[in-house]
Amino acid sequence: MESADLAARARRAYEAGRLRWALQIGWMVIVLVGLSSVAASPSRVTILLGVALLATVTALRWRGQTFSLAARVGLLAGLIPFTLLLGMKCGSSMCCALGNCMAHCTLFCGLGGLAAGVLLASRARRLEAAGLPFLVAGSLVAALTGLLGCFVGGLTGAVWMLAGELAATLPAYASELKRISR
Amino acid sequence: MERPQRNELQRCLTRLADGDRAAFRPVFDLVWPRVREIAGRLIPHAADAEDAAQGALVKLFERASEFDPERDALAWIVGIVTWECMTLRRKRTRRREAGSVALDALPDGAINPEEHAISVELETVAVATMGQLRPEDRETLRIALFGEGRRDLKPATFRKRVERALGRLRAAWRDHGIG
Repeated sequence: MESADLAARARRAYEAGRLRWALQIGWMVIVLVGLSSVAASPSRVTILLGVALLATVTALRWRGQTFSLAARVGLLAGLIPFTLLLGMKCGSSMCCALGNCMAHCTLFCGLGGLAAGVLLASRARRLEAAGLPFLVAGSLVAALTGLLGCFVGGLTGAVWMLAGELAATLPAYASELKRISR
Repeated sequence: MERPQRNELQRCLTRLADGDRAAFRPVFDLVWPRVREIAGRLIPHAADAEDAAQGALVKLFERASEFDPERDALAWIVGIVTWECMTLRRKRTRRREAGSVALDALPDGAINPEEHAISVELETVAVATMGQLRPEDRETLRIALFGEGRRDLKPATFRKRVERALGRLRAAWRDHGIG
């Protein structure tokens, strides 16, 4: 076999192996979707968000480098609003006893989103290069993960979570854009 | 492999494991001669060694994303190549055991009279040689080579029987001045 043919075969094997490796994160997404389905009732939204999250995370991990890191950090960041909301949903009897059930829900969504954004921004600041792609990819993963939990708060909860995340990452976006334009 | 080359390999494989496609060619160029060398040492037959080297190289790139940068790249490569070579060797040995040793020499679909005569003669000798074997050896070989009859034994026991029967067939074959 010619060296070029062999190199092409090796390259195909590398890409296939990388895709298999990237898909290994699937178990985590399955666990999150399972938890979300158990805590809230199983719905089409959960499934759609789960599929979108799996596709995004797999693609990012397959692409590698900054994107792979973004997938990891994004998942971790997204777990904050996810855990907060599902925790609140499980202990809803206590929270709702205080009254204003939905207000608590949206507040938790907003705070979770804010914490996720802070985590992403602090991680992006430590990167020497490719901070913007990291922020974009990480925010997307964090949003999808968070929404798996926050959709129980309805559209308002989801919007608050996204707003919180955006508010925390906005300065980081601005500084990255400034760095690029320089 | 020299120390600087080894360090370069470590760096490039780490980059490739991280998804940096630009590191593919340097890794390929550094690894391929090494893989060939190891396969050549482990497998004496040149064509088999080449096959094993190519298979090992493909496997290596397939698993490149799993490479842990904390580990030594060369040791990781040697491990995969050795495993692949040993697997191929085992497969080939098993195939040789199962395939007919003597019947391999028979010309397939002889077309000219000379080849036909040789084929008939070899067939006669093969039948005569088989005739010299014990009935249970004949039965074992019939099952192993032609898939005729039922195999009631455990795979390991059956493999042992095939080995023994082939050994006796080889000896009988040699008595006919062939092989």
